[in-house]
Amino acid sequence: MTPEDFRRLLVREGLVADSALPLLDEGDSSPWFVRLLAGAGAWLAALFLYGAIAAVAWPLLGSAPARLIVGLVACAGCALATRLRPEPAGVFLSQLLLATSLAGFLLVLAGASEWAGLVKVSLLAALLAAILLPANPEPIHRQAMALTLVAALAVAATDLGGLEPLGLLLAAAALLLWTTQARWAAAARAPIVVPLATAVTAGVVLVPALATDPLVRLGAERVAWPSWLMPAGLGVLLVAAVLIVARDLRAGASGAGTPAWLPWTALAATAAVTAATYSAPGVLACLLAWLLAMAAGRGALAGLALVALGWYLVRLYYGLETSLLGKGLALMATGAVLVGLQFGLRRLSRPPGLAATAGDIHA
Amino acid sequence: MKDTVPDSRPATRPVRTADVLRLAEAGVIAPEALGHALRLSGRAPTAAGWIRALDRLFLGVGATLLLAGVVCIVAYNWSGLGRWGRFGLAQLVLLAVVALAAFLGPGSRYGRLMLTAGIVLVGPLLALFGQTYQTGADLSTLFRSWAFLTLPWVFASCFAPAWLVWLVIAEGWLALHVEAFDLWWRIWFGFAPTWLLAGALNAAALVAWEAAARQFAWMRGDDLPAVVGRSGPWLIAMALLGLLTGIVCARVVGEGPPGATAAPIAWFLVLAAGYRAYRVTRVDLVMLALGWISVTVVLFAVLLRFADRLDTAPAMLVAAGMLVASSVLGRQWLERVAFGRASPAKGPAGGRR
Repeated sequence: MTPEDFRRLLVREGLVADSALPLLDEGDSSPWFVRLLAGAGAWLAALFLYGAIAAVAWPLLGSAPARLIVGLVACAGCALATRLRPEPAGVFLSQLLLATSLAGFLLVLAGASEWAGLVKVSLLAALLAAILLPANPEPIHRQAMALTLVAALAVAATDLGGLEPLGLLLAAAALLLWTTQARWAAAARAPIVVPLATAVTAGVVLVPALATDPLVRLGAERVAWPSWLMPAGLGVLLVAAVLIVARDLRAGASGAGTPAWLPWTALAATAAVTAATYSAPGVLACLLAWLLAMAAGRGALAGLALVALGWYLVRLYYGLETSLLGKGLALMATGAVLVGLQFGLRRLSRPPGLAATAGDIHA
Repeated sequence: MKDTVPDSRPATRPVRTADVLRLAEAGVIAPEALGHALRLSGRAPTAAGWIRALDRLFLGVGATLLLAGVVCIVAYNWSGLGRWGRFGLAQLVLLAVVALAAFLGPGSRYGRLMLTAGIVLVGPLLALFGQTYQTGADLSTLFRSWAFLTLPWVFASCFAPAWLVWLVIAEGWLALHVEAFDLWWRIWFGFAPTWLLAGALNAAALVAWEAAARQFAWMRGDDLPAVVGRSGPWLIAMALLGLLTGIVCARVVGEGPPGATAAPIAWFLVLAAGYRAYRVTRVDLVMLALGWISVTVVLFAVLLRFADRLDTAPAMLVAAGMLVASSVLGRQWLERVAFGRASPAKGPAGGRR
């Protein structure tokens, strides 16, 4: 659907008056591979530029405080320059500033690592990322900072033996962030919250795989969390997500054709899937991420959740916590439940002619 | 008449979730209507859309999990399976995939995908054969058998990705063969270095692909997403240019395989032919971008060759400056080509005709 089609549809549905609808932002009109070429060139150029600077200024960067200060100055300077640069700035300048800021970020961590251990450095990285996320408006920088924030928390939690609670916290945060999209979008917070919610969702699908990996936990604190914690927690959150999505669907104007059996069937299906995936909670995490991303209109993220499911299955195959026979039976049971649900869904949805709209095509 | 690449100009770009959020941010859409607006835009599913999406999810993920479960159980029992069991299993999977392809029909997209999967699955079956009966044959023999055995299926598929998979197998055979018998090859065909033959093979494959694309709509990938449809020629060009660029760079810094002196000439000829094919006759921005990258890499190698006379810092500054210049000029040129052309309505993507 083109922006013009969408405009007409909004007016026809009475959601906006024609005169109130501003032109949609056209964005960068260069083909993606041309932007990629310019961006990659900027990153390589930055590498050599900073290589040259490092070659000259290495004596100055030799001490930890110097690295810390130079890194902080680079991060702050880039945030300021990004805010003050003329619009529209070219890809090259944007990427150069991005590379500089990330180099500064790494310098800060390099400086701090001489004084502090892994957990403290991770927490510092999380704090710095949390500050830079709103401070630097460059979109890729924001996404990088949001991912760094989640990754740093995961590193700290791994070392402290708290990956399971972190996984559940991230899942709860993802649920909260995506289901309140309307509120933060109206409050003009989308440029900050979208990358954060995306990173948190990435954490949701990655943490269960890490939690079952003995190599990741090598040398970390051993905390014996109950085995039911992760599947039960994720199951509760998935049930909540299903209920919220079903409620929103029925409440909206486009929910007129929503069959009455949908919420309760979805709830029963969720309970069945939760029970089946008890020994493979990563499947549940990926399904939760998929559901939230789909409901929020983030098709690419939903696709990534399914890719993450494939990755989780590979990790599970090589995991040492249960035998291949046990894993195989659990996966087959879950698969059978899902195929059964598909069969049931087809039977239930056959009679009524649900109105097809653009949403069908997209989905 | 010149064929053209489409651009990503906003007039035809689809509406995005960010657009809808921006309207909510501007107060044009009320927060409580955002969900409805997202569904109207097609970015979020309606009730019917959810049913379709869940239908696909349950079937896709369910089948994947069932398959993963079977793989786990087979792996658990693998050492206990005899030769008959192993071969039976491998052949059963292959048969099932090919039978499904026949059932779906070669005309359907899923039928073609299944046939492509069958082409891939012949390889593991041959590998199992080689593992079970240690014949001492070279690995290239496996790839050769794979390529020849699957050729009829490739013809039957009428599917560009199947041809791409086959080309990878065939190139694997030739690469392994040449690697194993390179000395013999050089003694008898010393006039033609191996790299030049590999380059010629890829150039011939590219020409053949483009010629076939003029004749057959399925070879153009008209029924596939734009990026997938043109991925064959792009990947072949990437292999060809990657090979020649690497050898030219090696020659520039005084290294390189036998016959590398001729590499700059071959590289220049390929670039000139590519310019004629993808800029003069028609426009394919991805091909032009690949050419630009190749030129930049070679210039960079030339720079490195002479930079050893400088200190580290000035050499790096010069390198950074060259990259900046190349990146800016490249982008300007490609945008001029993309937006300065006559008829933007010719093809859907990246030079598809």
